[in-house]
Amino acid sequence: MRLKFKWIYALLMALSIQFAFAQEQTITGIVSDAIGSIPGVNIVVKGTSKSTQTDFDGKYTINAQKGDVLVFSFVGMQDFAATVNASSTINVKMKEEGKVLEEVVILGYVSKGKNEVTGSVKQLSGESLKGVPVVSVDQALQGKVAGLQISQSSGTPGSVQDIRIRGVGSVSASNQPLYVIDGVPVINSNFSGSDNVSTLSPLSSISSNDIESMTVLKDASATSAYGARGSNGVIIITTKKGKSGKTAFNVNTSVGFQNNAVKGQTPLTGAQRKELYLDAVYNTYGASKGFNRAGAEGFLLGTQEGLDIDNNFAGLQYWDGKEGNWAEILKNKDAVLRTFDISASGGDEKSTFNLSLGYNKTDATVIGSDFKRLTAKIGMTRKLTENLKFSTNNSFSDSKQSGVLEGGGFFANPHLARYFMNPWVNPYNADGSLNIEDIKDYTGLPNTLYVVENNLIENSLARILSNNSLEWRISDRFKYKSVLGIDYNLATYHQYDNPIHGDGADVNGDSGQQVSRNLNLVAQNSINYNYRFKDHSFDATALFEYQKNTYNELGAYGENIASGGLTYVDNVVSNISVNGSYQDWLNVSYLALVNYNFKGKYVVDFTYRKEGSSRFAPTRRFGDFWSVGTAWNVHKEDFMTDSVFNELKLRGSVGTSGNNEIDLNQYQALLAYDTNYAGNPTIYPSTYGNLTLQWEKNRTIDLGVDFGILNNRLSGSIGVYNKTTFDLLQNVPLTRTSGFSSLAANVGEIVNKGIEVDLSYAAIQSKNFNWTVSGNFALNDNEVTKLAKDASGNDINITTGTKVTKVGEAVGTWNMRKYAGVNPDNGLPQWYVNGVDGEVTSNYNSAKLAIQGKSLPTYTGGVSTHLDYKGVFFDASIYFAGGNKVFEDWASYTQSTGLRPIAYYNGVSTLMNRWQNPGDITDVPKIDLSSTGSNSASSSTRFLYDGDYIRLKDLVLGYSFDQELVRRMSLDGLTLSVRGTNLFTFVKDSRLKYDPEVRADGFTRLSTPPVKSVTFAINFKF
Amino acid sequence: MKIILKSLIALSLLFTVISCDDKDLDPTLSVNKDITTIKSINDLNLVISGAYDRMTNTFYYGRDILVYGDVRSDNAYSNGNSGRFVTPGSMDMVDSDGYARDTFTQIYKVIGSCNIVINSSIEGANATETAQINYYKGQALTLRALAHYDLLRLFGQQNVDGGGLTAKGISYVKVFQSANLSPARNTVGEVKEFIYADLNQALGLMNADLDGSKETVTTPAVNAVKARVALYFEDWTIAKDASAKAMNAAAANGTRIAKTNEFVSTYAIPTPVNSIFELAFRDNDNQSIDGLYNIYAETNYGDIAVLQDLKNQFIASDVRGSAAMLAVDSKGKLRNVGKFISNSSNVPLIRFEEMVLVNAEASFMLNNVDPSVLISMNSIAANRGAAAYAVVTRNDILKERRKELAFEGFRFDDLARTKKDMPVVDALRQTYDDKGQILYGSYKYAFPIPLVEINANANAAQNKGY
Repeated sequence: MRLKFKWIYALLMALSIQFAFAQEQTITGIVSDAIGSIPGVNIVVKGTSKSTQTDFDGKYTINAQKGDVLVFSFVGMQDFAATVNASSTINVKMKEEGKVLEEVVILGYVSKGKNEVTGSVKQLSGESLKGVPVVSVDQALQGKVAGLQISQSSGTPGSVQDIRIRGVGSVSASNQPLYVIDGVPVINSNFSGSDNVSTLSPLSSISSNDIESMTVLKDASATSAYGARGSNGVIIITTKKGKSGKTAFNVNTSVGFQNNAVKGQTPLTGAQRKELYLDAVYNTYGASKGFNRAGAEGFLLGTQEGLDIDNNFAGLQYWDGKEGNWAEILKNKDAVLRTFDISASGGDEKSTFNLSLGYNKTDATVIGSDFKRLTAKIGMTRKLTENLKFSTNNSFSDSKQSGVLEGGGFFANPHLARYFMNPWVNPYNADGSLNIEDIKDYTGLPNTLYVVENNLIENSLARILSNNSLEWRISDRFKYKSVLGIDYNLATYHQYDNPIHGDGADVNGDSGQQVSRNLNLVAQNSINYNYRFKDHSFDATALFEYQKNTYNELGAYGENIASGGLTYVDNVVSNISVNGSYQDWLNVSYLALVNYNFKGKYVVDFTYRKEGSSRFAPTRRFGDFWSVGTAWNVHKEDFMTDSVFNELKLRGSVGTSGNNEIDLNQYQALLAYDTNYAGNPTIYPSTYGNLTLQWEKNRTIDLGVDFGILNNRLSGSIGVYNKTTFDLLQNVPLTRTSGFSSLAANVGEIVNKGIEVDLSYAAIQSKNFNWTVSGNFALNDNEVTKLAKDASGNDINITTGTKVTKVGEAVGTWNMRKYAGVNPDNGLPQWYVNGVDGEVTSNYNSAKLAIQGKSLPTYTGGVSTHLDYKGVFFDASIYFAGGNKVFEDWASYTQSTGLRPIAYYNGVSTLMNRWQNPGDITDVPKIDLSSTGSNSASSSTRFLYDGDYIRLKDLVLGYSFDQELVRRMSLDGLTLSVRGTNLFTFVKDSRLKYDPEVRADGFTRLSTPPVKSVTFAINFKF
Repeated sequence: MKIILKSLIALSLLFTVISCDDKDLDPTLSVNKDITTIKSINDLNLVISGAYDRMTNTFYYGRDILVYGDVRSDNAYSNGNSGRFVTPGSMDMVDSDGYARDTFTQIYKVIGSCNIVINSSIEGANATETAQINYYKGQALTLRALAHYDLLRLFGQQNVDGGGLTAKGISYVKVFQSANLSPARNTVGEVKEFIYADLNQALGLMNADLDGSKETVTTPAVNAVKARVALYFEDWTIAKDASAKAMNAAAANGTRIAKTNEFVSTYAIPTPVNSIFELAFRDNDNQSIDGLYNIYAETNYGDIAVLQDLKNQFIASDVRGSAAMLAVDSKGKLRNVGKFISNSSNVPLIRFEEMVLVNAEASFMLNNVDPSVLISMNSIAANRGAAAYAVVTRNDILKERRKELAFEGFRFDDLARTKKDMPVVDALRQTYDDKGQILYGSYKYAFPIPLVEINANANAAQNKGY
C-alpha cells in the first residue's frame, strides 16, 4: 500500500466553481503519470475561463464543446493538450518535464542553459557527492574537477581544507576560493579559537545530504560576476529545495571505520634507539677512551666515566628494557564514524517545502579527538500571487570538535608525541596507573595519555544560514528579485591544561574560554530583463549587493587553579588576561550582466562589476571588474546537421576579477593598546600602514571547446587559460630595523597558465547494463613575473628557511641546500657547494642555497568509472597529483644524527641506515653525541621528496532493490552500499613515508593525516 | 496588488539608502587608533611604557638576551630538555636561526617605540610640562642607546677576525618609519659614538627631581648604561667617571650594595636596595612559561643548567654559591635557583654592584695601583661572605664579575671583550662545535644577521662565516 500523501494535499485544495453552458458535452477521464493517478491536476478549456481539477483518484469532469482544447497542467509535469472530439472520455498520461529540458548550469546570481555558458565551469550533482564519508563537503570535490587541487589541512574531522583553483595567484592574500551558498556569498574562515589547535571549517556545518549541486567557476567570464572575490575561483553550493508532488521521504544512515590512509614514518623502537645511542657513544668517545663499537655498552654502563656520560645524555642505565610502544597506544584504531540523515520534501503548485535533520559523529584516528554535528534545515517556497514568489531556506547546525594541539610543535600533540616520545618510557606505572613522575627522567614530553585525558580543547560552532528571496515577475520581460542572506556563526572555544602534569604543570593549570560571534548580512536587489524577438534572445540583469560582516569576540585566559578538573576561567588567579574586540568590513557592489544569443548559436556575455571594500585605503576602495565571453554552438549550424557531433561549442572569454582577502585595517598606521607595563597601560605601534593599498586584480583569458559525439556517449571539454594576477596584495618584507616585519602593499605579478581536459565516455548504455568512464586532467604552470623592489632596484624576494618567492620561479619554490649524501670515508653529511652539482662540502654554512623544485603540484587529475547492472552498481575513482616536491617537516628532529633522536626525543627507523664504517655507502650520516650532528638535519634536499602520488579515492559497491519488490515493502526505494575511501595510495618517492596529500604549502605535518575508511550505508525512500 | 506596491517601495528604498560612496566604507577601529593620535604628554608616557613592555618580551630581557650571555660561556649549558637554546649554546647557528631573528626584530621594535618619543613634536604648555616631556625623551634616548648596544654585542663584528671599531656594527636607527628602508650597517665605532651621543643628550634632558620608580630609567641609570658601554669599549676614563656618577646619584636615593643577609632576598622582591634599573613583571603580566624562571628551574622546559665550574668559584661561606642560589635538582643537574625565582620576578638590568665592579676595573686599567680598586673589590667580597682581597688583579675583577653577575647576561661579553677563547670547562656538557674549542676571533662570536633582514634590506651585509 502506498502512502498517499497526495490525498491529504488534495483535501486542502480550494474548490473551483463550474458553470455549465448549453451545447456542451461532459468530458470525464483519469489523469495519471508513470506511477499512478494524479490528484489536483489543473484542466483548462483553452481560450475560456472554464477549469477544473482532478479529484483524489485523478478523475475529472468538465464541460466542453467539440473542437475545444483541454490543457492539463501540473507542477513538475509537461503540459498536455487534448482536443475534444466525439468521445466523452479523455484519459491522459502526463510526463515529467525535467528530463526534456536542457541542462541548467547554476552560476550563482543567474542560471543558464548549458549552451549559453561562455565560461569555464563544472557542475556536480548532489548525487555524486552523496554518501562520501567526509565531514566537510568540499572534500568530495577532489579528483572531480579539472584544475581544482584540494588537500586536507588535517584529517581531524571538521578541519579547514586547502583548495586551490588553477594554482596559486596570490602571495599574501588568501588563495582560497569564494563560497556561495544558494546565491549568497558566505564566510569560510577558520573558526577555531586558537591557532595552536585543530582548525574548524564553517563548511563542515553543512551536511552533504542537503546539497543539490556544486558548481565550480574557474574563468573570468564566470567569476567576474563575483568581481571582488572571484580571483581564486568560486564554489557555488545549491542546497536542496522542495519539489512539488507527493511528499517524499529520504533516510540515509551509515556507519564506517577509519584509519590513517598512509602509515607514516616508523618511530624507533627502544632497542633501535639503544643501538643508535651506543653507536654515537662509540663514534664520540671510542677513539679517545680506547674502546671499539662492541665495547660501547661496556664503557657506558661499566665505568664511572661512562655512567656520567650516560647520565648527562640518554640515561640508558635507567631503562628496564621494556618497549614503550607509544605509536600503537596513541592511535585510535578503526575510528568510528556514524551518520544519520532524514529529509522530506513535497508541495503543490503554489508551495513547496523541504525539511531535513542530520547527525554526524566522527572519531579521529588519534586519541582525544572527535567531531559531532547536528544539522536541521527547513525551506519553503510559496507563490504569494500569480507573479510573486517567496522562498526561504534556513539551516541550523551545531558542531562540536574535540581537537588536539596539532597547530605546531607542541609536546602535548599526540601526532608529535608518536615520533618524539622516548620509547624507553613506560606509559603506565606498575600498578596500571599512568606514568607521570618517572617519565620526567627520560623526556621533556608529558605523558600524552594523561594530557589527552585530563586536558581539554574544544571548539564548537553554531551556525544559522538563512536565505530569503522574493521574486516578482513584473511582466513577461521584467523580473525583480530581492535576496536577504544571513550567515550567523557563534563559535566558542574552551581550553584547559591540568595543573598536575603537562603544559599546565609549570603554571599550576591554565584555562581559556572564548566566544566569538560573526554576523554576515548580504542584501541583493536585482532587475532582470528578458527579451526574445524572432531569433534574437537578450537577457540583462542589474544587481546591487551590499554585504556587511561584523565580528565580536570576548575571551579570557588565566593560570593558577586551586584544584584539578576546574576547567573554566572562573577559577584562575594569575596572568589573567581578557580580550574583547569588534571588527567589521563592508562590501558594496554594482553588477551588470548582459547575455545575448542569436538562434542559440552565437552567444555573447558581458559582465561589469564595480565593487567597494572597506579593507582598502580611502579613494582606493572601489575596483572595476569586467569580462566579455563568447560562445559558438557549432552543432546548431545547418551544416552540422549530419555530423557526429551532438554538441560542439567553442568558447572564449577575457576579463578581470579581484581579491581583497587580507587582514582588516591594514592600510592604516595603527597604535595598539593591549599591553601593560608595571600595571600601567601602554601604547605601541602595531601596523605600518599604507595609504595606497587597493585591490589585487587578475586578468584571465580562457579558451575552450565543449563537445559531445555518438549521441553524447563521448563528451568532454578542453580548455586553456592564462591568468595574470597583478597589483598583488603582498606583505612585503620590511627591514626589521623599522620595528616591523612587513608592510601590506600592492606589488608584483604572478602568471598561471594551464590546460584542463574533461572526458566522459558511456561505454555501454542499455536497459540493464551501463558503464561509463570519465576522467579529468589539468596542468598548471605558475610563475612570479614581478616583485617589490628595494631602494637599489633589486627585487625583494620572500624567503624562508626552505622557500623562496622570486621572479622567474613559482610562488614558494623550494630553495635550500642540496644534499650530496654521506662522505663514505668519514660518515659526515655533504652538500653541493653551489647548490646544484660538482664540488661538495661538509660545512653546511659554506654550501649555497639553490632552487630545488615546486611546492604545489603541476598536474592533477582524476579517473572514475561507474558500472551498473540491474540493481547492482559499482563506482571507483582515483585522484592523482604531482610534479611537486614535498618537504618532511620535523625531520631536523626525527632524522638528526646528533643528540635529538637518541638523547632528547626519538627518531625514525630510517636512521638505522646510518654510516658506520669507512666505505659505507648510505644517505644517513654518522651518528654522534653532538647537538646538531654536523647540521645533517638542517634544511636540505635530504628531506625533499617527489610529491607524485595516485590514490584510490573511492570504491563503492551497492545494490538498489527492484522497484516492484520495494513497493511491496511500502517504499519507493531502498539502496544498500559499502564504500571504501582512500583505500590505496601509491607514492612515487619511497623516501616519502608520510601522506603525500600535504597542505598547499608542501610541508608534511605532525597533524592528523588523511584517513582511509570503509562505510556501510542504507538509503530508504518512501 | 498591495504586496507589489510594498515591494516596489522596498525596492526603491534599498537602492537609495545603500548607494554607497567611499566614506560609507570606513571600517570601525575598536581596539586600535590611528598613529596620529599621539598628542599629549601622557601619550608620550604610555609610548615609553610600551618600549619597556617590549623589553620584557621573551626575545629580549624577558629571557633570551640574558640567557645568551651565560649559555655561550663557562657558566651554563643547554641540556636540550625542550629543545631550547641548543644553537646559541653550541654557538652553531645558521643564517635562518630563530634566536638571531627574533631578538634582532624585538630590539628594533623597542627602538621604534623610543623614536616615536624622541622625535615627537609635542610641546609643553609651561616649564613643568616641558621638563616632563624632556624627561620622557631622555628615557627614550637611554633605552635607544641600550638597545643598540645590545644589538651590537650580539651582531657586531668587533670580536671577529680582528674586528675592532672599524668592523661592521649594526644600523643605528634614529627615525620611526624612516623613508630609508634599506639602512646600511654603521661601523662599530660609529655605533659607539651614537650611543654616547644619545646618553649625553639624555643626561642633558633629564631632571633628577623627576626620577621615579627604578622600574623605569632614572638619571643614575643613564650614567650606568654609559659606564657599561664604555667598559665594553675599554674607554676607561668614561667608564670610571660614569660609574662614579651613577653610584653617587643612586646612593643619593638610598641605593647601595646589598648585604650578605640581604643578597638572596634582592632577587625575590621588586626594586631592592641594590637596584638601579630593572624591568617590571607582575602576577598578571609576565612571560609565563616562556620566561626566565621556566628555563632555569626544573620545569617542563628547564633547558639551562649550570656548569659545576661556576659553583667551584665560590668558597663555602659565599652566599652567591649557597644552596639558596645554586642547587642540584632531582635529576642531578646543577641549577640557578636564586635568580628569577618565579614568573613574576622582576629582571634586574643594572645593579649597584655592577657599577662598583665597572669602577674598579676602569680604575685598575687606568692605574693598577689605584687604592680605590681594592676598596671597591672588598666592598663586594665583604657583603657576600667571600674572602677579602689583599691585592687585586684584573683577573680577580673579572672573576668577581662572573660570580656576582652570573645569569644576568654578562659572562660571554666579559670573555669576548677581554679577547678570550671560549673556555671549555666541561667538555661533556658544553656543546661547542662538535666538541672543539671556539677561539677568539671565530665568526661564531657574532650571531648571523637574520636571513629575513638580508632578504628585505639590500644594504644589510651578512656577518663573516654565515
